[in-house]
Amino acid sequence: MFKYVLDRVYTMSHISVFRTKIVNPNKQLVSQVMQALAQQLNARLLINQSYRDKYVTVNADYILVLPNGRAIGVNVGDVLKIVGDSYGWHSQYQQLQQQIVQTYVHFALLQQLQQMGYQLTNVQQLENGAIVGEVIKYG
Amino acid sequence: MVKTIKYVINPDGTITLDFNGFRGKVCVREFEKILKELEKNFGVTVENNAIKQDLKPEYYQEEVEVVEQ
Repeated sequence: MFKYVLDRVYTMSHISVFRTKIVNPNKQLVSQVMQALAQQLNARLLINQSYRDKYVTVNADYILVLPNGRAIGVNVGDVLKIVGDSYGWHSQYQQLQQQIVQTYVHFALLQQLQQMGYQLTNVQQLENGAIVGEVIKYG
Repeated sequence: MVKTIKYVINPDGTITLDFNGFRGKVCVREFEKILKELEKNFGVTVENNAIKQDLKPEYYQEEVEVVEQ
C-alpha cells in the first residue's frame, strides 16, 4: 500500500484594510443611494432641479432637502461632486458628505458581493457611524 | 464549506474586509476580484494603492489530503 500526499492546502484567512476613492461613479447607484438617504433622513429628494438654500441656490443632479430646510446636492461626473453651503451647519454638512460617500461605497460593495454569489446575513450601523456587515457563500 | 466576509465601512472611507473559511489562496484571489469589479462596475478604487493585509492564525493551519492505494 502506498500513501502519498495528494495536495497540501491551507485554510487561509486574512484581513485587508484600504481607503477608497470614487472615480467615474455609477449613475444608477448614485440614484439608489440618494433615494435611500432621503428616506433615512426624512428628506425631500429633488432630481435635476435647483433649490434656494438659506444663503445660496444649490444646483445639482440630486438634492436632499432636510427637515431643517438646508440642502446638500450631488453632481455625477468624472467624480462624485458634493455641492451646497455649509455655513451655519458645518458639522452636520460634513457628516452628510461622509454619509453620501460611505453609503455609495457600501451599496457598491454589497451589490458586487451579491453578484459574486454572496448573501447578506447581517448589517448594522455602529454609534461611531461605521457600517458593519457580513455576507456568506456556500461551497 | 461556508465562506464568510465581514466588512466594516468607516465614515472616512476606509474599508476592512475580513475573510474566513477560504481554502488555499482563494481568499486572495477573491479579494483581488472584488477590488477589480468594484472599480469596473462602480468606480470605487483603492486610494494610493494602499492596502494593508494581515494573515490570520488560520493561515498557518495546514490541511493535508492523503490518498491511500
